[in-house]
Amino acid sequence: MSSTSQLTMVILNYIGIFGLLISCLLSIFLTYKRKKLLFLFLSFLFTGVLNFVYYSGVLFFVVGLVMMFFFLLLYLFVFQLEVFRGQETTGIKVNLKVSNKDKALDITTALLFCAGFAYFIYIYTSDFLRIAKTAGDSAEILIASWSDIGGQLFAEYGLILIIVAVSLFLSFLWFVAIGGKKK
Amino acid sequence: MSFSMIIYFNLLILLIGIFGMIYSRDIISAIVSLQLVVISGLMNFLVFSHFLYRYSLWDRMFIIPGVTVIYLVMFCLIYYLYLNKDKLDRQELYRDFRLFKITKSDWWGEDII
Repeated sequence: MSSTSQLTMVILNYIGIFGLLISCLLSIFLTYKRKKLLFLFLSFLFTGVLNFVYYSGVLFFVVGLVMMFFFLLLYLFVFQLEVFRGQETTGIKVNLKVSNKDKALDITTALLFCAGFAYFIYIYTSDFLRIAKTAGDSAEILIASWSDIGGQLFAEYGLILIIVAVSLFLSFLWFVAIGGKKK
Repeated sequence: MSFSMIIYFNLLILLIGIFGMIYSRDIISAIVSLQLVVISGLMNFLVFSHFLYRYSLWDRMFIIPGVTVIYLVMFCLIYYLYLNKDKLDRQELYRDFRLFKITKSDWWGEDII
């Protein structure tokens, strides 16, 4: 690979990683739900950029198709929820105010849990990452195409069985979802 | 960028997702946080494959059915909420929703006898 291409890949990698981080942070901390979904969608686009950087661009198209359906439905759902924001049509008074003490306790508990989790992951992976750091880049690159993936898929029969089982499970869920409507 | 740096970035995204799941007070924020956990997992698979197992296709073989299943399950979940909740029920979803709600009585038992 030429040095210009390598530089482009490095720049794309930085753009993807930092864009992903910023859009993830915004999608968590924004309060307006439609903007939240917009930044979540941007984070998926940056994941797509990273798929290309790691030579797995085929994932962007295959997985992206399913994601689009999910996002459309989620956006419709949020749009309908937004209509009822701040309205009380049921007549039930619910106190939505959270005291500062409760809020501080929630943040502290969440931060402590995350800190503990991060500490254990760091402790148990730092040695491995130190060894893996030496795994250098080689000149040869494998860019996976759909035909390679299809070839592998049909060479391993177990995978097809898993996919069939998963399809049956999902169709069961689907029929539960569309069949359980309240009268 | 180095392998370890990308892994630590992914860890950061995972932690943001977990923080959101614990802290968020409505169902949409909980779903958004779950998405971040999925993104972090997907990126980890890709990065490990890219840096350590370059000639293997197993990451793509795993990601395609794995992520597809996760999204189809979530699609079914949202569709179920969408179909089976009428307008008033949907309004309920705007109220306080905690994925993990731990109160004092969970630790000390019921304080009102």
